Amino acid sequence: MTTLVVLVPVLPLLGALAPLTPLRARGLGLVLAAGGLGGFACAVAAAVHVAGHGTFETGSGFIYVDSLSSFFMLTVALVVVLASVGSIAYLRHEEQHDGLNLLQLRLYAAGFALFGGLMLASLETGNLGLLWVLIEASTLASAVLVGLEGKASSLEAAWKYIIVSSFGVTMALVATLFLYYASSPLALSPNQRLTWPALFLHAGALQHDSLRLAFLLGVIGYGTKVGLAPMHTWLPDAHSEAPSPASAMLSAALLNTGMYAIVRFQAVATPELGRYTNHVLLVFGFASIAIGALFMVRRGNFKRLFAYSSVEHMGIISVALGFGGVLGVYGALLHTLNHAIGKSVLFLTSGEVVQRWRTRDAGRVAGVLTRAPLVGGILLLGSLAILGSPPFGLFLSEFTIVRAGFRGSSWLAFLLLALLVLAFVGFARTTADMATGEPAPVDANAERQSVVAALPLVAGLAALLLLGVWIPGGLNSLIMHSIGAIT
Amino acid sequence: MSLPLAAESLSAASTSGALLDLSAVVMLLAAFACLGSKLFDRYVAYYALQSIVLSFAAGVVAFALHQPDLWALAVLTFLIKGVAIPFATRRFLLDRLELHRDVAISTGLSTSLIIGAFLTAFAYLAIRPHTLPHALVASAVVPLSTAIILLGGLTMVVRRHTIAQLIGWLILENGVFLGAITLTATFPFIVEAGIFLDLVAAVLIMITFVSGLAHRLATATAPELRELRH
Amino acid sequence: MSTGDGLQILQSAVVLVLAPLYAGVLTRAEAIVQSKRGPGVLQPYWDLAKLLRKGSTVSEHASWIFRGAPFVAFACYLTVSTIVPIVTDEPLPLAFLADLIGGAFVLALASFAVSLAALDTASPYGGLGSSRTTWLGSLAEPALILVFFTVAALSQSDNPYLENHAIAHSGAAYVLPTHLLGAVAFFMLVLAENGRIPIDNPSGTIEISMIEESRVLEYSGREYALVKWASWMKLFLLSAIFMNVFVIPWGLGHADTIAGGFLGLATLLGKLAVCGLAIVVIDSSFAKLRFFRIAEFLGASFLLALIGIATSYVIRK
Repeated sequence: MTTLVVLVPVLPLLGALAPLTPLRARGLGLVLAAGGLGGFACAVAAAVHVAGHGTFETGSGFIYVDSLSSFFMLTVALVVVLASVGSIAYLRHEEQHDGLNLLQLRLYAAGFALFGGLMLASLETGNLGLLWVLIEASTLASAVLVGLEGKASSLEAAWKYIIVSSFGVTMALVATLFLYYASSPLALSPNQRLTWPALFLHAGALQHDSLRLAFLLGVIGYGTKVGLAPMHTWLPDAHSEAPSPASAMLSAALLNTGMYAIVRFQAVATPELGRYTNHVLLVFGFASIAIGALFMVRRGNFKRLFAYSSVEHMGIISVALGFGGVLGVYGALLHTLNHAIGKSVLFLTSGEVVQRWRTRDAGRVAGVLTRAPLVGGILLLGSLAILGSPPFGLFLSEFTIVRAGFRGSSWLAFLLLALLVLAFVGFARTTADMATGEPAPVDANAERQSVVAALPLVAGLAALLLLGVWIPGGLNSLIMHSIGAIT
Repeated sequence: MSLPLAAESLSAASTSGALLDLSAVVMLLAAFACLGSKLFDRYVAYYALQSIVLSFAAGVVAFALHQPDLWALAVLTFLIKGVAIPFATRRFLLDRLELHRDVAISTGLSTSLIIGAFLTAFAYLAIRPHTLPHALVASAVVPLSTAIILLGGLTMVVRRHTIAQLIGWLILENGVFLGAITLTATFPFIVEAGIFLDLVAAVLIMITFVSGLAHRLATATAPELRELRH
Repeated sequence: MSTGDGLQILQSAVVLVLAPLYAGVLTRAEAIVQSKRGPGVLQPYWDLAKLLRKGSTVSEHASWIFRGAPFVAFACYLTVSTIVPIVTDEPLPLAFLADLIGGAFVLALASFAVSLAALDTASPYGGLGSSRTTWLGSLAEPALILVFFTVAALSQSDNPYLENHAIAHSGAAYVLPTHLLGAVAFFMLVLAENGRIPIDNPSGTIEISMIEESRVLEYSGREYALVKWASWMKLFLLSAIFMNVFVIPWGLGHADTIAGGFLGLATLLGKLAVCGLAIVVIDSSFAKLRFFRIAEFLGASFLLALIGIATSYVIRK
């Protein structure tokens, strides 16, 4: 099992060595995809192992895999697979059309591999300090990707990303320190005081005031990574300027690792702090949904639109955690998975649109359905999916969350519904306009749809459809065990 | 654990406690000086001063609590934050881009200093000693490190130039580090080392970005970030 | 006449007599540092003697304020000389007149009187000097009060003698950030109040850039002598307070015997030499600040004092 657990991040990381070889775009892409697939396979195997043999812990808590970890690992690994397969077509296209030079291609490969590997590694550790280190490291790797294209706007987005993220993550470090401090009444060794299982076990004995501060700062700090408002300011820029497969990873995977950290913090803090944790998450969650929904109404850069949608969805997950209870957490976890798949599909689709229309401006794109039927279709269906319409998976998870809301206070649940409707309107308008209508005068490259590029899109959409109507028993039990692990 | 002994040795009355208080105040003053200055050389110089005092403070704590890991951290801080990063910033950014005066400041210097004073007062009021019953250290250090964190954050917010924002973040990190070594002196070394590595990598990447930005925008003064709006 | 009264008279006499010498030594030292010969150290005395013999010319537009202000200022500084520790470490009979805050008020009164007199003559330079000095005072006074509070935070009292004891008797109190910050802030204020570099050039003769000196341009003869003597006494007093309360609080004579007073005098000369050295070094190393940047200078002093006081609340013994 240790080998499996180690392989999950290492296989994608091996892709970082690819730039040292004389591989060109296609080769680099294939290496990344191979790493991603390998990592995913190992993650599945690890999840099966955990389901059968229970929590796996070694290295005095530095490696810790329970159901929650394996759930998130599966989600992130799935996104890595989708994004890396999408990278193949992306890299080839950029090389053919001289969008990126060889150095940039190699940087992309290295950055992508490091990014994916570090994210997966961060999900496997039980030491909260090491978790911080790895999340920050993955932020740095992704910053390289954001600024890859080297334009003034990309560098500016990358700068904003790295500075705001680092600021937020430093807050998370302070939170970790306070958590460490709050555990000083416990008679454990310094290492153990930082490991999640020990903290969770003794959660009732933690020092109250420091724990409050630790949780609040943790939500603010890791919330910056997740993109909760008002710490979301870097998100639209970074996600829109990055290459599309990287945007997919940023939106669907990195945000999830931040959310993972918040879930762990919440689990440790709730026994002592009670409803305080729920209130904090509700506040930030609703703020995010509101801001996401409001900003989605503007027409402009469609990748920014998707980014604001991510803010909104992370808000929904936070609200779900805030509602609490088995139903709330179930909804949160399910929504994490669905959103990850849906957002990856959307961003990869946007990559196709950008490559064909050579613009990120939604006003200049029209008639995608006519020009590139597959892409247009997936764009439309993907938008519907991400907005939570049945029969896709997000509908199910949002429904669960709303139900959980009604269990508690109904007017909050109504507020949630209202904001979701607002978001629907804003988002659907733009993508519908993009998909339909006369093809824009700016001539799109009349390329054939490559199978490799279409593969992740179709696969993702199919998965969403599947999850909308049926939750596999294995997945269900995994989620239920995860809920058990943190309550 | 040896903690009860350690608690006495770092109270305000002991020599190490007094030294720690003094170092923390000097660091705070360096942060203010950075906030109140307009020349890039000064930013870097005050940051270097702050880091050197920080490494001294780490050494004091290491000595008082007999923690060998902290010695290593003190040396690391001195070398990396006190010497390497200021040198790298000077050489690769200031000299190459020939930056001297910072004109990208949102509010006036006096206003930012006043806000900084308010933030310091807030830090003092918010971190009451009673919230930290197991204080390992001289009780002034925690509010002071909070104040340094707030001042670093203020610098990042008020300055629009990327290098000033970078220095602001570095000051913030110094504040966090001061709080870390004094509040939780027994923080696992491997994690501290990891934090250091992250810091170095972040600074390197930031330096690269700033050079790239300056290249792209090709303005003599700083890259003012205006491209992406709303 | 008891010992106390004797020491009281000695103290005021010391201030009166030695203030011109102090100013003379400073001028000479600065000149030497700048590789010039400079006037003799006793020059201020010759100046005073000369001026006291001369008659004074008074403008037709001036009123009794103009004629009375030099006396008011002189009297104020003489008063302050009785209430601060100069040669002894115990309060002398007249020390009940005011504490440090009261002393600050009296100093402000002196400056106010001279500013009024400058306006009185309707001379443009007088008005210029008055407005500048008042602006400077409005920034410096809060800082001054705060600085006194920093030491008060250490000694729980406003009395300069008690403050002196608190610092002299406790090594730990000396190295507290509160004390050190207060000392630096007070030194900055000493420079500001006396019109030294970097606030104003004491040896400058360009009227348009003068701050304090231009207030007294209209004076001549006896009143001019008093005004100059008063400003020397101000420098002497503030330097003495700085050294005796903040930097070197030891070495003051006991208030039992007159001999103690003379001992205090001897150490005072040494301390003033140190202070004078610091002033001369700063005068020769820095340039005068641009006028509106003086606000930043005084703001920095204010800030240091503020941090000092705040730190005293969080440092628990």
